[in-house]
Amino acid sequence: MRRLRKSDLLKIIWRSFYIQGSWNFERMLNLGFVFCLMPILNKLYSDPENRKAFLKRHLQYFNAHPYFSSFALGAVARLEEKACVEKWTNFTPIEKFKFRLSSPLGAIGDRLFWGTIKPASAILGVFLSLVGGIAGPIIMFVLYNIPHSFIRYYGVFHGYKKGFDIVSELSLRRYQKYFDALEKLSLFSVGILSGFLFLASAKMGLEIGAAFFLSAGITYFILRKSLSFYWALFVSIVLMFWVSFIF
Amino acid sequence: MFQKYVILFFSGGIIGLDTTAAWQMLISHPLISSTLIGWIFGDLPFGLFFGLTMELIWLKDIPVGGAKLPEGNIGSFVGVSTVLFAQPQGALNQPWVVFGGFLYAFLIAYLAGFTVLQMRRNNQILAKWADHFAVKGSSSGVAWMHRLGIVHAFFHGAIWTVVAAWLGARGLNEFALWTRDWGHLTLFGLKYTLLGMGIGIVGYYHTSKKNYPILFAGIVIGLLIGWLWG
Repeated sequence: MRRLRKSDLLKIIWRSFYIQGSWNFERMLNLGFVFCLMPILNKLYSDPENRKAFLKRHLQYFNAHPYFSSFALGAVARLEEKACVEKWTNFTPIEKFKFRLSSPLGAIGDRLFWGTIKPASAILGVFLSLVGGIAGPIIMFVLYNIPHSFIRYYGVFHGYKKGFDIVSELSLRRYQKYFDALEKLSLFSVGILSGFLFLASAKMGLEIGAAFFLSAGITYFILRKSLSFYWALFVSIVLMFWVSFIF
Repeated sequence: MFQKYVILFFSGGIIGLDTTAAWQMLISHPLISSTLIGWIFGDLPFGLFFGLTMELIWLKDIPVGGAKLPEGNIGSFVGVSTVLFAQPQGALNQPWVVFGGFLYAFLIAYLAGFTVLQMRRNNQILAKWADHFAVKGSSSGVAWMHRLGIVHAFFHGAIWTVVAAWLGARGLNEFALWTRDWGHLTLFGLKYTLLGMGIGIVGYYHTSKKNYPILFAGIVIGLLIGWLWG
């Protein structure tokens, strides 16, 4: 028997945009997670003891990628609904399930969004800003937020549909080929931007082209040697003065 | 002027939220936020210039809750706002002021990283209070603890932006007078050395040796586009 409606899941999606609002070092996304599940609590439980137990079990440790946590939110909503209808007395499976989802949701999300989609859209944004001005930031915003919004929406509904079974779908290995393809695309865009910028800077004057090339190479070398990022900044400033005053 | 600071307060709050606490829709990224504030304060070309120069550098930051970082988004937003306040009549004609704005952005990014850590510690206190509300069965109390965390992130961004931009604008005006006779600084040199630094950073974080042929193929295509573009 279903007790939750589409509108309840939509409320979770809306709240999921704020899931990292109270991120803390001890239990990370715990407070955000329970905040997102409030519509479920209000719908399923009216008895004070059940409400206390619900709040306590979802205030335990939880961490994941903020967008991909929507899969966990949807699946937990389904399990809580089931537990309420079937009158479970032991909620340990839900707690273990949440804990087990943390790592894959974090790993897939970090790699897909922070490692691939974000740099690719930012690189395209910078490239388009150089050639087309204002189009750059607009396209960067749109391009990034299409998959972002989709994952937030799809995650909650798909998680709700699958319940416990969502675990088998969230394996890093399963998505490896897509990650590889996206990473190659991202790398290709880094190459395009590098080549374009080098030529654009060289057209301003050979010394500016040299400064661009040296700045990129020295920064890369400094980071590879695990030196501070601020050394790279210092070198870039020196190169800028070299371009401005020596030539 | 007061109106400008009110706008800056709210937009700084939005930047503070979007960085990690809410939405994460890249509004807080320099390319978008700097262009927007440049447009609002009437100097779109400078906002775009500042944003695109800074964007690649801060791609190294991964906005996960626990990471200790310079706060590049707030730093860049403060930098661009400071220059816009110091030079409302066309910042791109004042290369030394722009240079000062970049340096100030890096300084604020570094300092704001420490207050972000403090904010995470404060959230720990909110989580403990939420436990007390949970024991009492007060769901609204628990929800309000989370909302306080969001409000905290908003004020963190807003206060940093307004205070640092106010102080920075005064400092930059002095810096402009001080550097008046220092000779000409080329804006192109500034732009391309910082973009070079950004390419070095992106290259380090997003390349691996096994994919070098793809990178080189991209460079060739980039050179070709640059050549055709004229």
